[in-house]
Amino acid sequence: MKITLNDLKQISPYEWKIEQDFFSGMNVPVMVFSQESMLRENLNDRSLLQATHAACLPGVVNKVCVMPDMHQGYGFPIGGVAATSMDEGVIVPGAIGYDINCGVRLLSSQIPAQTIYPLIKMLVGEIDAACPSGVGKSGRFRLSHGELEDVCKNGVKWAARNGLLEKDEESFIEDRGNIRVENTNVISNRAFERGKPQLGSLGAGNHFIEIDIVERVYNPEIAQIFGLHEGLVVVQIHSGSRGFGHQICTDFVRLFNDQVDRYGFNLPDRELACAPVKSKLGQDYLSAMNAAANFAFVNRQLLAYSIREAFDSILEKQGITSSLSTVYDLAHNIGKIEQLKMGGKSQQVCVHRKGATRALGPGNCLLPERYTTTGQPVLIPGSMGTHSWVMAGSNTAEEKSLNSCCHGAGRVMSRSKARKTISGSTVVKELEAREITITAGSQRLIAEEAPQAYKDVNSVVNIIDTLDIARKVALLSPIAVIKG
Amino acid sequence: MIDFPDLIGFIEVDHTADIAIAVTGDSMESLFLQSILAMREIIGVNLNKRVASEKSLTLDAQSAESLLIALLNEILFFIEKDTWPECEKLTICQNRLSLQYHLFRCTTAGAHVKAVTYNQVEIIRHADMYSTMLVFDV
Repeated sequence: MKITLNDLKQISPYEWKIEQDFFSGMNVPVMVFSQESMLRENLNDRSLLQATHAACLPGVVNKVCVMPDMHQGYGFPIGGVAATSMDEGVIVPGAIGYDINCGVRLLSSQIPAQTIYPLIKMLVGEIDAACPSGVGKSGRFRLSHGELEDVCKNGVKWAARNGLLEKDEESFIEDRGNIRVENTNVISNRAFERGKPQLGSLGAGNHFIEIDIVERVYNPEIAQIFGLHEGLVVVQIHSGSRGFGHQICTDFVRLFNDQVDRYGFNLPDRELACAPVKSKLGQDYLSAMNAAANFAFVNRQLLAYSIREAFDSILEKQGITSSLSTVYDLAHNIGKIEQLKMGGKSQQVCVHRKGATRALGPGNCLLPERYTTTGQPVLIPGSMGTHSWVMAGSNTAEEKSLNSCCHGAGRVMSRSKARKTISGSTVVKELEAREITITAGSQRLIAEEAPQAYKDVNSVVNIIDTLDIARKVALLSPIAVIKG
Repeated sequence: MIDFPDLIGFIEVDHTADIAIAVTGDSMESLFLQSILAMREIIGVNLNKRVASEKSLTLDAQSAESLLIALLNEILFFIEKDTWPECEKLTICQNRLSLQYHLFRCTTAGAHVKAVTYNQVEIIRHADMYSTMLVFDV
């Protein structure tokens, strides 16, 4: 089946709808937040078709939302959000992804840009050495089976007990970096084996550490509360649950596929294999996924710890104090049980976000006290060498977009085309000409992750801001990128 | 519409976020072997010293597709340990697979594959050929 622009009903300049009766298996409509030029590009891949497949999930409620950074994933679109009923709905590992709790952390500082420029190459070298990257690469922190179980159950509380967490830092991590885990016995030995040596490592692909300058503040009042000021240095960390999360997803997608006939679901794609949220299999997956989410929170915590050490090591020699504070840490590949208001009614649902960020508005009881009046910081990294954005969640998001927002720029070019048409060394030269330092595992990766392979993040953010899903707070400009 | 190779082999198919390939073989075993070769090429595996001989691996699954995904994910686990199982003999019987291999140390110079997904995987038996799509999460 091919979707064309004629199949989408335009609701407003940036809102489009695929009606529930588009084909017979759909249980809800699909809402697409995008502009026509981006949509035309998305029609070249399977992202919208995948969104309609998500709308076929058993027990899916209200609507499936697709953010402007959408692109084709495996089964479920990147930038997609679907909520399922707790009573009749399912949980879908493929709608969360292999990199469970892949997410972003933003660290703020009081360091002026001018101070960091002369030190940037040394600093990048120090961070690169302290934060190992690449598939399967071990981190600085090797845990025993028992210690990793502790991480699974207690998240960043484990880091606090080991002196790896700053005072009250957990308040600025989604779910305080500690999601409840009922049972770790459902996690395979192989997942433990893969996870034990990997905490504190960056991973590969689109994962990165980026040093940025706050280029422009759009909302001074909120930026002040977030600790963001024009001309000061900030650091973004993009990583996830590494081999531990990948193995958990691999294990459960297989189990779900093996049992799919038992539930009699007619699924459009095997990667959407699912089980009722309340079934034993569904609950076992929730436990394992939450454990992987806690692993990822701790992983980003340990990366932040290593980055702090690297800053201290370079800056203290110059007599500069470099304290880095966590502004926020959030997940953009996760499934969560949340209370959502939809169609005027509040309902407990299982929200699947794959390449989508939670965006809580002001007053939400899940926010840390400091952000009660601002809404949740929403972190939107751009592509390599381009701007990134800090936004603040709005109360409009709950009804409009299932309390969710975009997670980045979103790919627009396939990896194979990027490799054929973009030269990694040219990208490096272009970035260096703009005084952006880059270190990466390979030229191939640089070509695949080149800015031309992604949408324009500023256009993506403009759509989100105009729809009032989240509001612009600050624009970040990169000065150094460490790619996984 | 996917263009599968006319002969035994594999070709990369456009995929926005990940890496997709179309694979063909003249038997189920051949399809599995071509899938292994495709993954080896994507990851850019270079073999070094042999570290073990005549090892074997047995996998069971509920379908041929699950068996293929399980095998490729098993090989990914080898690669995470900087090793590669060079296949000597592969047999498949009623969704049970046996692989005899020599284990080599290896390095990689290609894509970083995180997992092999079930997305679009469907083993189709044609008159004289088997085919499937595979999507690798990178």
